[in-house]
Amino acid sequence: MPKILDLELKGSSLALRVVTGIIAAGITFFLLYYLPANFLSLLGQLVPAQALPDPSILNTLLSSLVNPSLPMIGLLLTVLVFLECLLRGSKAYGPILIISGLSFIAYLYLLFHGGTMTITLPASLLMGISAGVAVDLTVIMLLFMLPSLLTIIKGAVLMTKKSGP
Amino acid sequence: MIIIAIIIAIGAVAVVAMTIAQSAPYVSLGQVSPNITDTVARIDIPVTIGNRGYLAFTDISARLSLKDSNGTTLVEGSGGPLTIPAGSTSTFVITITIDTAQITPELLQGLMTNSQNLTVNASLGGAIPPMVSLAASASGNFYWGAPFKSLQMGSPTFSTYNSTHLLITTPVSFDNDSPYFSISGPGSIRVVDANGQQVGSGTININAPSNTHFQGNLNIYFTIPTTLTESLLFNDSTLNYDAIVELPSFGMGGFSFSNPVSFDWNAPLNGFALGTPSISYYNSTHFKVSSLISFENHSPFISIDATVQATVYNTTSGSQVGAGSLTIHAPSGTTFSQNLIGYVELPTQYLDTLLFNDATLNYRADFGGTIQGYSFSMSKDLQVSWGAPVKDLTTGTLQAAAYNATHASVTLPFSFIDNSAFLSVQGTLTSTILLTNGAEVGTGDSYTLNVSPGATLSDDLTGYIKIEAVGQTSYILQLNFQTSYGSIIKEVTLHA
Repeated sequence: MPKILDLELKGSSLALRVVTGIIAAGITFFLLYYLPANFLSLLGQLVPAQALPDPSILNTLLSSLVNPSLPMIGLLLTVLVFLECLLRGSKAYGPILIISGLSFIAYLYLLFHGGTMTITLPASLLMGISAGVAVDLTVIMLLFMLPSLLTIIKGAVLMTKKSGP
Repeated sequence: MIIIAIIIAIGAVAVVAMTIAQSAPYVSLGQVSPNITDTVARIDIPVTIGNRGYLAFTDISARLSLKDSNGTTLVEGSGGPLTIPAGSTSTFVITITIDTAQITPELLQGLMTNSQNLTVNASLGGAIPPMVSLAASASGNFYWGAPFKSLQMGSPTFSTYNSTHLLITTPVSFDNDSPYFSISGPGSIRVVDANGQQVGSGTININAPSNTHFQGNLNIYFTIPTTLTESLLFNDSTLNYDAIVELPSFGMGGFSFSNPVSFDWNAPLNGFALGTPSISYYNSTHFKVSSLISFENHSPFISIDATVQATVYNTTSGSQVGAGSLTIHAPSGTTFSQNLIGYVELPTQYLDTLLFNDATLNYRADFGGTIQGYSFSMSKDLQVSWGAPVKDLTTGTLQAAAYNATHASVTLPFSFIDNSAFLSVQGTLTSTILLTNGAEVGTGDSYTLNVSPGATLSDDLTGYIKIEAVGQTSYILQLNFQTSYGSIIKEVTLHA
């Protein structure tokens, strides 16, 4: 029987975990890394070019919407989700849950720009007038952080149990 | 718990999304109602929002101001704050205020003709508590491209359109600097005089898409007064009018402005002069008056081919005493000079005075005619120097000599000068000798008169006087001048 850390698994069970991990990690990779990293090119494929503003304006808009650190955290979360699937029940599972919860909170914080999303519209978009839109989504951000917070708590509880007598 | 938390988070987003999505179809624009009080125009734009969602909309507000480059507020608007509870409908009224006292015609003209930066400040706010709140603001310089930038009206050119109108073609050009609006449609111009009377009108078709240069001709049909005034007829001048121009705009009605315009008027009878009249004998009832008429036809579009009628009036009595005519052919830009010949009645009713005394005869000559359909008239005073045909009539001493038993023959030297420029003294002169008490005591022989203008006659009158009347110290001699233009009696006192 293959053994991973303190966890002994049947071959079929390990294979199932790996497959589940790959699928979950793939979905995470797509949603949290691939989409923010390639948003502009994907948008260009989905929406006709004439319906979009000037590419330079679009770049400016997206750079103010999508934090450049998001894809990197998304990549980290991809790895953590795979490890969560693979190491569920092991003593490493608790710390992984804590790290992944913290990472997801960080991801959400950057995604929501700390709760208030401020979009600055380039002057060239509005006849030379600079405009800004501030959307306060703090409550929604906190609601989305709540599952991650619970995940951290779960990780901490599991870690405590594993390290106990 | 984690799953519940995820459901709560997704549910919260769904509630917000559904509140917005379900309410969006129930946003409608109401009847826009303008309300003008004194100089302030208020435009209320009601926006009715039906909140069909699960959360309330709060603090909905909007604010807008637009200022020109000098800081003058062109437009102000505001609305709210408004709260719409879930499941209810409210109307959010945005009130746009335009103080027309601030937007003077000059300012409007400036906006239409001068590109500039307008300052915009706008804000929009609202919230779906506790989930979302939104605050949008915009400020900056908004480039206003003037739709009639560098509007210019060039030098007009004149031409005759018909018998009553001149066609004044004025080139018009401008740059449609507006990146947003096209200018298309008919424009018009009205030309009014100082009394506000319309004297001309015209149209122009404009098609100037955004960021293009327009050049066209504005055709003005200028009404020439049917009776040309003396000043227009005889004097070059500058005619000053107000041109009220209305150009098509962009769905906001026409853009109109007034501009003073000046036309150089070149008189068709410029420098009209009536020379000193020369008079000559015509017949027993009329004398002939000839006067040089000269002028320059400065008008570029009126060619004179007309007959001028002259009517002569006695200034004192006002009665017509003569007439004349002159055919004038004076194309544009030519000088005309020709004699006008008229025939004036001899002033026979005043001949008892005028036969013996020089005088100045005062007449008024009225001229009238039609030039290319434009009638004109004018008056000139005419003074004719009248030289007396029998001027300085003098008599000598009456000499008596025996003739027969009842009468004595008499001889009387006499002389006069024909001072007339044109009238000769032709006819007969008869005479009667009276005592101072009026009793007739003698007669003179008939004397044939034939004195040319300017000549002097010096001769003796002969006759007969009763014997008993000889020896008186003085007599009265009645001289009867019988000429073709009248018979005049002149009494002279004689001393023996």
